[in-house]
Amino acid sequence: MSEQTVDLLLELGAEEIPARFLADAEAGLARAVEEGLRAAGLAPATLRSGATPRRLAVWAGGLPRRQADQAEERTGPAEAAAYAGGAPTQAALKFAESMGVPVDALELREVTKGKKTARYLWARRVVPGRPTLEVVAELLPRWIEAIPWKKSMRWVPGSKARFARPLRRIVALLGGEVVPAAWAGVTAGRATQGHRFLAPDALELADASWEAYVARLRAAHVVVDPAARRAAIEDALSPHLGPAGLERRRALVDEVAGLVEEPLVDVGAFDPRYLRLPRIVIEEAMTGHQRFFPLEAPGAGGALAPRFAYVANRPFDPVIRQGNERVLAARLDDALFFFELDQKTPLDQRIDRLDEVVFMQELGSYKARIARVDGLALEAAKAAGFAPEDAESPRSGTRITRSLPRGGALPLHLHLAAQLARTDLTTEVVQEMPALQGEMGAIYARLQGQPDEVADAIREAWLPRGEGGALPETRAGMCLALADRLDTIVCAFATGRAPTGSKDPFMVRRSVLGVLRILRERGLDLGYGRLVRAAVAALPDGVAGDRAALERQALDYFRERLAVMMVEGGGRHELVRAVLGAGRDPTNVLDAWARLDALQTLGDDPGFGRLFELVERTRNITQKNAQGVDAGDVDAGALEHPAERALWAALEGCRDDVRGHVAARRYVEAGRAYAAALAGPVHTFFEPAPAGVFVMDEDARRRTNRLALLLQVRALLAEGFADLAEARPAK
Amino acid sequence: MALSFQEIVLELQRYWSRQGCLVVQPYDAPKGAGTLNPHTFLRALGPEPWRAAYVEPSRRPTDGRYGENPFRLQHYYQFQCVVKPAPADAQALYEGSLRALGIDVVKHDLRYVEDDWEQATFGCAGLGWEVWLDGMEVSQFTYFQQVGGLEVDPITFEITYGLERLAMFIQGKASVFELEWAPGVTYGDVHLETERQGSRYHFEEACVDTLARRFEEDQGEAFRLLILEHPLVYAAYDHVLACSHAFNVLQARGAISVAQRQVYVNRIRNLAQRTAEAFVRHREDLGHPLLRGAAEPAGVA
Repeated sequence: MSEQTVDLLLELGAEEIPARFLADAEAGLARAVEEGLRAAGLAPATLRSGATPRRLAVWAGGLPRRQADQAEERTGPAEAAAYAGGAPTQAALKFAESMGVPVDALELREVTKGKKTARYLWARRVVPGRPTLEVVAELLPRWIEAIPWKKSMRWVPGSKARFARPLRRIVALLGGEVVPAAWAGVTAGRATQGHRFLAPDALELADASWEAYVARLRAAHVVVDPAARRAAIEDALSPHLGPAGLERRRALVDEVAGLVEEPLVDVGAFDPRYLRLPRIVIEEAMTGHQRFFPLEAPGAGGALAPRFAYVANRPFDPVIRQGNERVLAARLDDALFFFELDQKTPLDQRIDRLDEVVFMQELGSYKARIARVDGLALEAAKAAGFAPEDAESPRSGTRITRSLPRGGALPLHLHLAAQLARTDLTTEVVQEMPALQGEMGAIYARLQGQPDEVADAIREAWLPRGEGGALPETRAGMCLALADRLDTIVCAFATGRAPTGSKDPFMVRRSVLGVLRILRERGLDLGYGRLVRAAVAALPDGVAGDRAALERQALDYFRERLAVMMVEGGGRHELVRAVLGAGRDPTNVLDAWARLDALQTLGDDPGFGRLFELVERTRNITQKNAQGVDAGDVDAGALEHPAERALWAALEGCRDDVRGHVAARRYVEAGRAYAAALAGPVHTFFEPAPAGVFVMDEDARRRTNRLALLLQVRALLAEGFADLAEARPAK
Repeated sequence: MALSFQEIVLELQRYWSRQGCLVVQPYDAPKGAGTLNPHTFLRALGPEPWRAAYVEPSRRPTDGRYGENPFRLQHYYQFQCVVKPAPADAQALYEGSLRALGIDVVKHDLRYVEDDWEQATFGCAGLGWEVWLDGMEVSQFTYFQQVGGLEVDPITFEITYGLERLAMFIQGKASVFELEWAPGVTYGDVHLETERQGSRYHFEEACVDTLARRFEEDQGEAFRLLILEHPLVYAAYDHVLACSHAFNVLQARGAISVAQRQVYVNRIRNLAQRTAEAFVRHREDLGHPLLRGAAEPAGVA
């Protein structure tokens, strides 16, 4: 801090702010402060911030002590309107007043407006800069209100003020001075507070020094910097978890760091008899509600140890460890009780209970859904070539049969898995720990003697769980995951729950991404169009409405997401458009990607790049003029001009070659054959006459022939590969 | 010596009485949560100040476990405290109550962890926390935002102590049935049989036809009382509570299909909202007596 500059310290003290809000709130407040100061001509040299459950803090260093003076120049009324008989008019007086200058300080200046030059009144004034303290006092409430909360509340009687939890304290210091501001009934001061229990007394701050603020709080059992708390937790955990374990628990570390002001990591133990529980249940009991860290036994091949790490918000005391151990024991006891109870009713006896679990209100229960998912899973298996087209499900509906159907084991496994996939929703363990849906189904299915393929598929039907999550590995798992998602997607569209910018209650967007990822990353050579059609066809009449419209709506959404995915994967916009507007089945994700890759490769060929423009010209001219003209209308015998005859010959000459490559998905070769044959003739065709031809000839027969020829040029590549007319970058 | 179950209740009553709360009594109608006691549900509405504390038995038919689970009960006790408008030192008041129970909050790890509250059937929602004591959830702390479908202002804050949980923490017991209710008498002595029979009743014996008929009758009666020229708000609310409890038992009995469930919920919510609106009008008609001269709310010193 120099003589000319001053620092600003701002701390908002609140009742415990939810951990998951902290990062966005800290960043949002810092951004609001920086942008607000900058806009006021008070840009800070340095910005720092911090956040704990009980405070958000921002420090802006090196602010000017006041705003710079601003010169303002303005033109007023024209001379004719400004003076009457040499005396200033009302308009002139008003102008002088608005500029805060005496009327005789006004000048006349020549100004050009449009084509006219005339003399106008002109004035200049200096707007003095205001003291920073005053400006900050004015801006502070707006900064508070700019914090982006995921959810906020009211608490001040008769006020609309909102914050994540009640705001109780504002520290606002500019240098040594308190900023005279207030918000939601709280007046800014210089006193902060340390740890809720360990240092509850007010801490008076002398000035806006960030270092002093951080140090004073550190002494009062508060680590202001979230990264420092995270690092302290990680350091203490790493001997127990190892780097891989730490990486796996990153989200939990982040959350826990947002739940404490002064972290302490300690290790507790539990009765080894609970290790009988499936590992995933033990882990969920620890991480889900208690935010404990499961530990592995050293040298036991990664098996769980009967121990856990937890993070407290204060220094160690044995009663805290005992308390945490007791809570975990209670949870594990509960889980064991439920786990044993669940096994008394096997999954296949739980299908009827799914009638009690609502899927979507208009579509009834999860039980009513089974037959649809069952059918769709088989459809996916057929489309993927995992089962013959004449394969049958053992039986449609919700009855379980175990006879081997036509099409072999996969249809049987799919059928069994489809029946059982959601039955774990009715188990006690899943009701206690919803995150274990699918996982518990697989565990119980295996315990109850279902084949591994069925158990795996039950688990994998949930995959991927989040963006970037693991994908199904088994064939049955992939088919069931696709079927489950497609049913959800079309049901959501059919019942008016299509995703919007802010709302997507059934997570349709995520489901669509899941489908696209499975198709692409598992290399399934099938078009989602077929699955969408089947999913729409399976809907009950009362819900489906206009099936064709519904199918179109769903397909459009898929296509839009696929385009986004391709662009995010590095595809150029126009090339993605060219690829998705063409192809034998544009809904085949694998094929679309291969075509995109080929087009990107071809784009680097100098000979090919020229084609983009030429094909675009064929589109431009045919779009306007080729109504009623069919590409097949070419009458070869009637071609007269050498350029059009040469183009026809080139088309005839390369057509089989190009189609052959496309059929074999050798798209780069197809493009090269096309370019080699056609680039020259099309170029010549478009030359001015007499070298080229005039397409829009007066003679209708000639004109039709030429337009048809151009339609063929574009179609030859578009029918199976890419529509080059779309492929030119926008200017 | 750790406090017995009944001493915990007595201490909480004394403590909140000292904070200016009316110590009121449990409301004589079965209900799923202390919030539904009219001392909270109705008093949280409108501009009048209010402070009250009471024990409330809570009935959760589907949570019955025939007395075989050490943590789960179909009938348990909440201690409930509400203060309107929510004071600026709400958290300190709560911490004071733990001190009054002999819990040294400085020695333990007490944490407020995000947990928003919603009671959709009665159109209630609020923001707050669950309170952790060395990792154990012992209380729920809520700032009401909506009650009976109406946005509220001023805001009421509510603390709900899970009395059994708290007692297990204080007495260091692993099963609710082992809690010492009073010297020589356990919680199990008082409630093990009520749990066994309650579970049997709710899961096996409750007469579906009778309950369904009662729901219809209570709904009709509540509605009738609400559309009188001068609505009988309190009597109507009793019938709303009866509807809600019948619905809970029917659910435990597995007698409500998916399609019906939403219909039932909507009917109760509709009644709860009408009752809330009628109560607000009723207090207006009375001229908001508790606002009269009262900077300090209607507490007993």
